[in-house]
Amino acid sequence: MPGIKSASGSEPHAAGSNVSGRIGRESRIVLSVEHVSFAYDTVPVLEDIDLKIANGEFISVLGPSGCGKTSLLRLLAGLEKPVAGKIIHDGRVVSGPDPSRGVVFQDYSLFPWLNLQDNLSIAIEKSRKGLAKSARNRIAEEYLDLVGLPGVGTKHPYEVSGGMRQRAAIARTLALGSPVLLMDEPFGALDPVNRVRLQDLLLQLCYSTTDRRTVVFVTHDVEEALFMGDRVIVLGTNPGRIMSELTVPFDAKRNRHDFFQSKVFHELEAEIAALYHEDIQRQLEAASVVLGEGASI
Amino acid sequence: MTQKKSRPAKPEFGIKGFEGILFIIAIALCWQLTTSFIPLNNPKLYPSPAVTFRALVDSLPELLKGTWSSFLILVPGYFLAVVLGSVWGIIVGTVGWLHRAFDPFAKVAAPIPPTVYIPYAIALMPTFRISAILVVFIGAFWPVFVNTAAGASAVPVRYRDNAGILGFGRIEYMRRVVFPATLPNIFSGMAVGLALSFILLTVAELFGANDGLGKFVQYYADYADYPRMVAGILYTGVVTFFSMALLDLLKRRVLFWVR
Repeated sequence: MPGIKSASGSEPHAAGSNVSGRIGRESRIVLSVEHVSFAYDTVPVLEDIDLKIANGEFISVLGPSGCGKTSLLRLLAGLEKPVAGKIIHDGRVVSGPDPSRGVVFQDYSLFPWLNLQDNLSIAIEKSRKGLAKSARNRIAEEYLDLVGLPGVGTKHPYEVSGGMRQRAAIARTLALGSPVLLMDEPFGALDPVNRVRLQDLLLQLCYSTTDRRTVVFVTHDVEEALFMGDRVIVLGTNPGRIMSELTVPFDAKRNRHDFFQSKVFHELEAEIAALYHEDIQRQLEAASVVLGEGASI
Repeated sequence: MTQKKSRPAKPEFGIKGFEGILFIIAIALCWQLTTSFIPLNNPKLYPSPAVTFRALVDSLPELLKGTWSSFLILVPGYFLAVVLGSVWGIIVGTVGWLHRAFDPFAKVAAPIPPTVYIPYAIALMPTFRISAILVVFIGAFWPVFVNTAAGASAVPVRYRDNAGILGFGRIEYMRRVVFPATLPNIFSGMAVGLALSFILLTVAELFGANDGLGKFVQYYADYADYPRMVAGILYTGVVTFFSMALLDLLKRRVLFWVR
């Protein structure tokens, strides 16, 4: 796998730094968003986003619907082009989609006409060129095993549940060997039980593999953002902008139950609630100003 | 978590089929009754089911030979139309500038009723068979092309996104993403194209064939052998029906993933 070694060089679990969670301070920046603005036609979506993401970091991007978090992810993937500013991945300006930045979409990462094995096989074909079909299929089965889908390779996406599809989508992105994983509310359409299971699976995959990937995880769920991320980017609306960046101390996140009971979690949750309250206030004021002007004409 | 979503089977030979058969029986009954009770000046003009059936059995060898001859025109023309129509449709639907270049021409050329090409094709081509193949080809090409190009230019963004992330080049994108994603449209075009092919085939045969289904009907009409002519019409209907059913079967097998 064309993975990237943890720059800290230490055991993932031993990274004690509270500054950036699982990774050491010396980690190099893999993704850098520099003063990026984005608009659909003339409607501004994102304004002056500035963000540095270190190698191996797990970033949660949190925001309500319409804040442009999906647009930010699509920009990172190269599926959209910024109106202003630029995004740099490993020293190169992002100009289009690339297998080095794998994406898991909410519910459509797989081709419906291919079975799960073939969906993965396509990715393996790209990451490891020149492999025979049988070898690719074997590797595909290994990845399906890894995400808890043993023996379902011959099933088609329509034949399996949403949770299984998302597992397969994660497996495909892993098989693609992308050092950067971009996830757009990947568990947003799942029931709570499957959601928890897949959160744990994703964290487990991110912790345990030696070739740790950098993850940008978009969600509108505060708990999910805090539980998953080393760092939580809180986006405000109209236009989308970074309101705050919160660092989640890694030590607190040993255990789901403990984490949600912890003081750290409640403090961060309250901070986010305050941020959104402020954002809503600001918008209401802006709206009343506009209304006032309109009334005076 | 392991849940199987078995798709509901389409009622093919259930109640629907039963009702359909009932209707055909009713039609046949009406036919029988009208032929027995309505006095006609020329009873030969409106043969009874029994007479027609006898004519059908009698001319079956001739009809089978005609079917073979017709299919030698239909199959190459239709096959060529499907292959070229879908390939060209995918290319035109995917490549922006080609779409802009070809679309105005297609908008003018596609609606021309293909039957008007028959006399010129016969004059132009060395044999009747080649000219008929050409006409069938033109007739089936446009529906296949128009449907395919429409589908290819409207490939869902999600497939395009995934193709980009997987690092597909343009050709690979067309082959592995646009083609399968457009297959439902291709099959719609193929169904319209096949129906048109039969129309063009039989019309072309009226013009200048020595053999074939259309020729059979024309020939016995000229000799006022109406039982045989009606038998020929019914037989052509059956052949068309089974061809369409075969295409539908193929469509269901290929498009198993379309919900």
